[in-house]
Order: sequence, then structure tokens, then C-alpha cells
Amino acid sequence: MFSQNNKISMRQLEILLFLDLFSTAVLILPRRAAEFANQDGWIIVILSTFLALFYSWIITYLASRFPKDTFVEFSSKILSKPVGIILSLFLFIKICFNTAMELRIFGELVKQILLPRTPIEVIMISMLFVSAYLVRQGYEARGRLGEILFFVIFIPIISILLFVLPVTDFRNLKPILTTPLSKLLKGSYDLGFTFSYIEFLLMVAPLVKNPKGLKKSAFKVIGMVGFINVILVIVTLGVFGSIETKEQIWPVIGLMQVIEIPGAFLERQDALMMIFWITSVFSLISAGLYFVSFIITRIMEVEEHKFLVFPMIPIIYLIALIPDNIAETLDSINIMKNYFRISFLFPIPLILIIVAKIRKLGETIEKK
Amino acid sequence: MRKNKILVFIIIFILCMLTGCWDSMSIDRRAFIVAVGIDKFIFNELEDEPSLNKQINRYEMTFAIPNLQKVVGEQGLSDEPRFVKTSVGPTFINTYKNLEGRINKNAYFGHTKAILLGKELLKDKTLLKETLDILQRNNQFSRSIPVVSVDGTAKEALMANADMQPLIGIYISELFENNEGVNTRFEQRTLGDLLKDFKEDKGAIIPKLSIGEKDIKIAGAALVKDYELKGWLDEYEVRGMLWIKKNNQRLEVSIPYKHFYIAYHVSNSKSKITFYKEEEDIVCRVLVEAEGRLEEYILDENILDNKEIEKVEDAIEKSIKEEIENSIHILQKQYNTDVINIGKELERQDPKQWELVKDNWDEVFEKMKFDINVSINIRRIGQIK
Repeated sequence: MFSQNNKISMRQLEILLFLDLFSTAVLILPRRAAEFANQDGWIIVILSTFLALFYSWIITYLASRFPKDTFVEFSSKILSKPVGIILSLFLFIKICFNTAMELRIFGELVKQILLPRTPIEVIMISMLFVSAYLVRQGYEARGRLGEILFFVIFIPIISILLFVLPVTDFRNLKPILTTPLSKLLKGSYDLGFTFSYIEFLLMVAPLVKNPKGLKKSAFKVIGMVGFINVILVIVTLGVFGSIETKEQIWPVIGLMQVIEIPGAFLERQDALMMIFWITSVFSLISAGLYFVSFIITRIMEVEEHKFLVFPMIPIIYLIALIPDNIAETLDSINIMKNYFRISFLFPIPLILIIVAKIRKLGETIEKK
Repeated sequence: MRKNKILVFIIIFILCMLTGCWDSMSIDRRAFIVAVGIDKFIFNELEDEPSLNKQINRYEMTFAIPNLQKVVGEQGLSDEPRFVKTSVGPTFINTYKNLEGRINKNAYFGHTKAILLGKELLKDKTLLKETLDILQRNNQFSRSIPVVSVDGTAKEALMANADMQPLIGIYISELFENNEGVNTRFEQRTLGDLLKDFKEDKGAIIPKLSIGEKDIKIAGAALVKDYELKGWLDEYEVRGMLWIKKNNQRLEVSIPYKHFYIAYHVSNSKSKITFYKEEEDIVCRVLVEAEGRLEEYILDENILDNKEIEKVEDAIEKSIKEEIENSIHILQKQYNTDVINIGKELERQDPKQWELVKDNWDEVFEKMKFDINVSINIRRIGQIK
């Protein structure tokens, strides 16, 4: 009964999107923001949130025009089948790569902080298998899991932020607005891509019970994630100051080492933080795995995505193993970002919208 | 039937697979290092083994490990409350791995309570930089570990027999905790604070630990600039600095007054730094405000009188002002190091001006004029007139 149940409610979609957007950015965002604008980093994060709202407006506009189709189908409808399939394959490659890199970062961090003697291959493959087990049960199962994980992740993180507040020195944020405007804009363009997982919205319309509210929920989620990001950046800058925030590879993990929970006997709080982060990364990797197999299902026009999940594991696993070290991983993410990152957020959806309007495709026209 | 057999087989197989964990480590196999002392290795012909006299041996590290059985009050095999081990090696990590060849347990730094830096190490720029790098890079070291400097070697300090708490590491961290906001003989610095000081201000002060007969004492500070020890500040010089640097401190001030000494308890203090220009020169104006109560006065003299209180206030203000000026003078002329964050404050308040002076900040700081104002309020005078 459950395996056939592939529709999720709007609330579940919001939660899933929230987890996906949050887990990518949270660890490195303060460092990236400080690299661009030192103590003005939080301004960049605000601007990038607005940019993300703009992207999501375009994507949801397109998606709600074709409420029964995914990207694979409506791009084929709009731009002829071969072009549609090529674009979908691009999206497939992109999600594959992103998921693989996220997996690699996950592996590196777990090895560094929690399991120094376990081979990274084992850490990554076990994560993939657990995700695959979830993904095989369909999107609805992910939705329900997301509802549980949401509380497991956010109550601790918010209480941690409360504990950090006493050691935060807000004077570190001064002087305000000394960064030149061009740097601020460049930085916010770059950090806008921390929201790049909103491209999942291109695929999600047929999985939702009521696709009409897509835009509203996307805005709500992005606003909330943006708000938490801003607070996180301000707190990190306040604790470390801009120079040290730039130097730490994972400043948010470092944040955990600073706090003293009153009366606690725990010494290694960074490991504690890792647990919450792992849960949210699990949700992200399973999302990647799901949409990768989902795209292939739609391209091949088969009903069940179940048997396509396991073939995806070696692909993602091998991509994740390509980089030699953490520096190369972060580098290749940047290279990939520089060439592909914008494509599915802005130009391709825009072209699709324009062509669809000219050819009078999509639901808004049909109603008239 | 056949299906059940397969099921049983799978269950047994999974059970076997799930037992393994690469990183399993029983808690009793770990040696929890409570304090680490880091020194530069200097070969001593009388005491050390001749084989240690090699160029490659650069560090001498001392580790204090509590005898856990003794600490929790159980009868153990050994009566020692703690074990102190020293090891010599070329790099930090190598030295402590050498240690693992000598003790039967795994060294673990997750519960370290204090890091002690020896005098010779602080004088050596290369070694100090290496040390700070590993302390930050290795994630076992928490950023909230207190750091102290030792006028002598860290080894001696960890070997010291403090009778109130034999575990020197815990002793130091408790001393830090106790004195938070109360004591101004030193300023607590944690590992995180220090790393920040070094990177942002180029200079830092590290509380100084001295070894006594039956105890240890923390007072004064080592002044380190550009990762090199410049000199030591005594506790009065540190206190003068802290008037500017620290808010909400509580301390006692004693001053001579009419052939007697009177004591004043500060219950709350705050400082404010502003800048103004005087013919092209930047002048730093420091306003220190404090309130508190008069603890000791002169017998048979009436203090319940506003004019008299104002007189006493003036005397205290003057004494505090001298103390601050003395400290600033030493920082400016003797060490030329801005450890009171004047530069940072200027950057925050006047970024444009800071851009002009930041490249030769040392010279600007050396010549900078200070305009110090102290304002003291006596709120209470005790039970008699």
C-alpha cells in the first residue's frame, strides 16, 4: 500500500526542501561569506536569499504551468523530445555530481571527527545503502521520515545557538558596510548557489497533492532557511571574528568547541553537532538518489523507480571517490559550479517559459 | 522449511557482519591526558640519556595522566594520584606517539584541561608557530582549554606537588573558573582566544604560572608579539591594562590616604574608548567608570559626609589613573605591542582613519597620546561613620 503511495502533502514537501537546503550550506556558509566580505558577510547572505527567491519564482512558475509533468516531460513537450532528453540527462549528471560531492564531504568529516580509523569507502557506501533502502520505498516514505527528522535536527541546533550566544561578541561585526558594493554583489551571486537544490522543484510537481501552492511554500522555506543562515553567519562571525572564520574549513563545527553547556560533562561537543548534521545530510543524499533514479525512470518511461535505485549507487560512489583529498573535492565543486550551477536555476527555466508562452503550452492557457 | 533455513542463515550472517567497528575503543584503554606541557628540548648532560642528544629532538613534552582509580576513591594498584610522563621528539605529534610506546594506553586529548607553554618554547618563533598550528588543526583539542605560560619549564610545573589538588591541569582550570570576573592578577586566555589574538592583533598576553613550594600561582602575564616572547608583565601592569580591556570586573584597590591605607572594592567597572584628533595626531580617550564600596577607612574619622567622600574618590581616581598610565607606557615604549585592542577599536569606530595608519600601526601606536579619565563612585561605606 505504501509503496504505491507517491503523493506527499505540501507540509511534507516544505520540510524536505528545508532539510535539503539547510544541510548543504550550513557547514561552509560562514567561511564563504567571510571570504567575500569579511565582517559584512551576513549582508551577502541576505542578498543571496533574495536571489534564491527570484530563482524559485521562475522555477515554480514553470512547474505550476505543468502540474502533471516533471522536467523530463515538459521540456520534451516544449522543445521537442531529443532536446528535452538531452537537457534531462544534463540535470541527471548535475544531481549525480552534487550528490557524490556531498557524500564525499560527509565521508571526510565523519572520518576526521568521529571515525578516524574507518576507511572512507566504508563510511560512504554504508550511507548510500541506507539512503537506497529509504528511496526504494518511494517519495512518500521520505516525506514521513522528513517530518520526524525535522524535530531531531532543529531543536538541538536552535538550542545550541542559544548556548553560543553568551560567548558571541557582536562588536566583531563592526565596522558595517565597508566592503565595496561590487564585492557584495559578486559574493551574493556566488552564495545564491547554496540554494541550488531548489532545482528539485522542477521535478516535484507530480509528486505533490496540490501543486498550486508550490510557489508559496518555496518562498516560505527559502525565507526561513535564509533567516537561519543569517543568524548562523552572524553568530560565527561574532565568535571567531572574520579572520578566523576564513581560516577554518568548517567554522560551524568549530563553533561547537567554543560553547560550554552548563553542568555538562561532555567535552567533545563537535561530535554532537556532527550527529545532527549527519541526519540532515542523510536526507539530502537520499533526495539526490531519489531524483537521479526518478529522472531515469521518466526518460525510460517506466512506472516503477524501485529497481533503478541500486544501479545508481555505483555511479555516485565512483564519482565521490575521484577527488584525491578534501581540497580537490572543494575545488571540483567550484569548477562544476562555475559552469553548470546557474543553468537549471535561471536560463533554462526562462527559455522554457518563453517558448511555452509562444507555443501556448501549459495549464494557464488551457483553462482559458 | 527451506525458507526458514535461509532466514536463519541470513540472520547469523548479518550478526557476524555487524560486530566490526574499526574505531572501537574501550574507555579503560584510554589515557586521559589532563594537562600537556610543551617545552623546547635542551640537552642536559647531567640528567638526560646521551642518545637523546640529536638535532632532530626539538620538543620535550610532559603529560599528566590521572590515576582514575585513585581519583574515584577505589583501591588501585598504584597509590600515585597522577602519573607524569615526559617524551622527546621532533614534532608535536611524533612526541606524543613516542609516549604511546611507553604507556600501556592510548593517549587522548579530548578531556585536556590545561596547556602549559614553557619559557624557551615561547622564545622560539618556529616552534611556537608549529605548536599553535597543531593545537588548532587537531580536533581533539577543544578551543576552550585554558593556556598558561610558565616562567621556567612546563615540565617542572607539572611535576610540582600542589597539596590542594595534585592534578595540576584541573588545578589550573579550577583556578581559572574561580577567578572569573573576580581576580585581576591575570586575564584568562583559552586556546581559542589566543589563536584569535595572534591572528588579529599579532600580539597576545598569556597568563603566567609560577611554581611555589606547595602550590602554584597564576599572576602576571607573558607578552608575546609575532609569535615570540617579548617579556613578562607583573600583576600590577596587567591590572592596569585590564581596566581598559575588561568590563564588569571586581577587584580591590588599596591606596595610601592621610598616613593610612584605605581599601576600595570595585563591584562593577566599564571602560569606553573614543578617538579624537588633535592637530593631525590621533588621541585615544579612555574613560573608565567604576562603582563600589569603601571597605576600609580610618578609625575615628567621619566619612558620612559628601565632601569627604568626594575627596576619597579623587584620591582613588588618581591612583587608578596612574596605574593605567604606567601600563600603557610600558606597552608603548618598552614592548611596543598593542595588546589592549586599540587598533581594533579604531578600525571599528573609524574605518577610514584605520586604512591610513594600519600599515605602520606599530609606530603610530608607540607615539599615540592617551587621554585617560577615571570616574569612581563610592556607593556604600559600611556600618560605621
